[in-house]
Amino acid sequence: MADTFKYVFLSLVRNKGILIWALAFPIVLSCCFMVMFQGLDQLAQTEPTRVVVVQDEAYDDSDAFRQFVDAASEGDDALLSVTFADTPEEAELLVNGSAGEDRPYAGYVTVGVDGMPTVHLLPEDGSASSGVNNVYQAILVRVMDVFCSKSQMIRELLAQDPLFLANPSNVESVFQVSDVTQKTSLTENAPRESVRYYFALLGMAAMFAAQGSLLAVGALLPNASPLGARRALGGISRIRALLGCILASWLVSFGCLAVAYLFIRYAAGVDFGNRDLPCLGVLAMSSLMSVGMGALIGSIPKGSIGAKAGILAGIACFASLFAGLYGEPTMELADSVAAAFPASQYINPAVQISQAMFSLMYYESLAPCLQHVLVLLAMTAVFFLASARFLGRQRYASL
Amino acid sequence: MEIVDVKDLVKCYGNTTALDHFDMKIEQGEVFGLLGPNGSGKTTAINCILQLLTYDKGTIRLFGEPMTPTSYDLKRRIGIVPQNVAVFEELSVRENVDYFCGLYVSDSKLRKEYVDDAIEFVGLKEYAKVRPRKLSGGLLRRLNIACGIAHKPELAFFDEPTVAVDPQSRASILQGILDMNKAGTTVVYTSHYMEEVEEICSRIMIMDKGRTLAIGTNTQLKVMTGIGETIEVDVLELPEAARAKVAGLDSVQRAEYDGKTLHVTCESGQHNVSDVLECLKLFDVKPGRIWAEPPTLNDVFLEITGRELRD
Repeated sequence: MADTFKYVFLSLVRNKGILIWALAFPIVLSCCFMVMFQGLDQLAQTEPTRVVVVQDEAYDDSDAFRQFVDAASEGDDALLSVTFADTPEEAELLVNGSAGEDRPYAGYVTVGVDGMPTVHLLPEDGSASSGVNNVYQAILVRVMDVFCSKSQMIRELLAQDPLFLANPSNVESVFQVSDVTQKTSLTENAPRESVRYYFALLGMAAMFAAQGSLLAVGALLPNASPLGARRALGGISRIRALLGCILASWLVSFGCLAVAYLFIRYAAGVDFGNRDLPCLGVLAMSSLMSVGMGALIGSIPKGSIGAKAGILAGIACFASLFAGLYGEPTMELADSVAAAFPASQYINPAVQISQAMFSLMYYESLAPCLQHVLVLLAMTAVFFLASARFLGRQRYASL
Repeated sequence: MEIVDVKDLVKCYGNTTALDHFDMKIEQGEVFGLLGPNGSGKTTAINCILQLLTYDKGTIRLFGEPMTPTSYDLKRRIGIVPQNVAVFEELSVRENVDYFCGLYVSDSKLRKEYVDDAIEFVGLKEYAKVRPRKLSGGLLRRLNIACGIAHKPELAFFDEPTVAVDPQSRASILQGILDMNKAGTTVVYTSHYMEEVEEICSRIMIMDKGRTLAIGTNTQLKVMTGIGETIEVDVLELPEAARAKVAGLDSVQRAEYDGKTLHVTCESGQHNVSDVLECLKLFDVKPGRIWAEPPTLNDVFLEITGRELRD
């Protein structure tokens, strides 16, 4: 068995088809996703609101607003990203000129003689990013409103009691403001729009990795190739040869998936939290499922290895459709199908792998993930039992 | 001792009978030639003996024991060099030989020695690290042989091992098989090359349509068919009456004239050449070059299986 394992492993890792489909394909597709979804993730990230501030005499005279702008645009948690303009016309030009950019200015701010800011917003341009710009404009307006209301309140208090700010507790209560933005998370890790694609990709990659066991098990069948016939004449039992093939295929499949995972984790920057080990555990189970699937297709008595590989590729592509790999419309389709026929998810390995990774990333508890792993385990058992029916044959009516 | 004992083997593919009450006995130490036209049932017989194929009737015993699909102890004593090259494309020559040897020999030290011997035996030492796709057709055939015999089997089946092999490699392979035989391996050899079978086989079976047609040594087969020498006489002109006269001689089986040479196939006898020349003299035909060849296995084969073309 050890020799079978060793040489089947070597033959698989040297097989160009395996290297392309199980190893290179997920990495190449990840690279495509990285390029395609760069903007998508940026949309979901809250960055400092870009604003132009008119730095005229009134601005220079307004110590309070100047200090407020400095404070709001400093540090890692800066609220504003400020660009200064000398005149309102120049500020308007800057704002309008940025309209076509990915992140245009939310507007510009002028300071009146009373030291109070006035916000001039960028008009709605109907672009795809205008929804996000509305958020930034709302933040800008809210920030300036807070400044105005606090300034007004302090002025009124000082008019009534000039020593009001001498009391530290008063100072604290006046300057304590509710956060303009607050980072909250409903899930274990921060959600990213693009991660669903990567999870679906892992599901598809696992199914493509089934090519390894398809080839290894297919090459054991005496009626599939002269090599299979030759191997069937060896002095070791079929079960030992089969175990060697399955172990080697699993290792290759898991290795390919682990490389894809590490690439997605570190190169694509998909954060799986601190759950690398559970993630690798899910991939190990997914590899076992893929080995079972490949063994089943590879052990079908009729058909060439090429035809069987074609069947596998077809199944992988179709199953990945319902995992939402092919974009927004197919994700909606997948969600609709899942809602209408919940059972369909339980027979789709790509969906189960994708959901298992999804559960790991977003749920604090491991229980939801475990449910998907158990479904994968059941699939594996079914695949192996079905393939055992074909592989149990020792002799054939014809070769 | 009978190493192979096949009795009354029947194998049908649908309505076609591939083996029709086929019998075969092979003694220890023989180089047994299995001859037959395409589709005669040679490979089917071997696959049934090796338990790759199911069969409808009959018994198969190897080394005195019944052969079954799970007779791994028996399988370890058998080597097979199949008709089609059957190796891993992704493994080197040495890795392939080691893998196949490993199917029979678990002792790694002994296996290393066997693998070295097998590679040396087929002359692939300098290609040990090369992968099959970089080997020529002849070298591939030699690798196929090395994989089949590396474990030094007691019984080896060679199913047309020299197809597409150059004459030098063929000579080397045939000599190797004789050397293996001398070292104690019983050999079953199938081929379409009659001269090979004639050269190395101690006993020959000719089969067709799943049946044994003849079996014996090379000489026995020639005697059995009664074929004598083949006489060829160059003549510029040959009257039909003269050809008919020659063909009518008691010891002549066939006489054919192609416009230049008269080809005469004789039964075994002592005066065939002089009888033919006497006939030609009667018609005043002056012979040019004359030569006579003793019968070959090819003649025997054609005589037994017929001269009509096969599918």
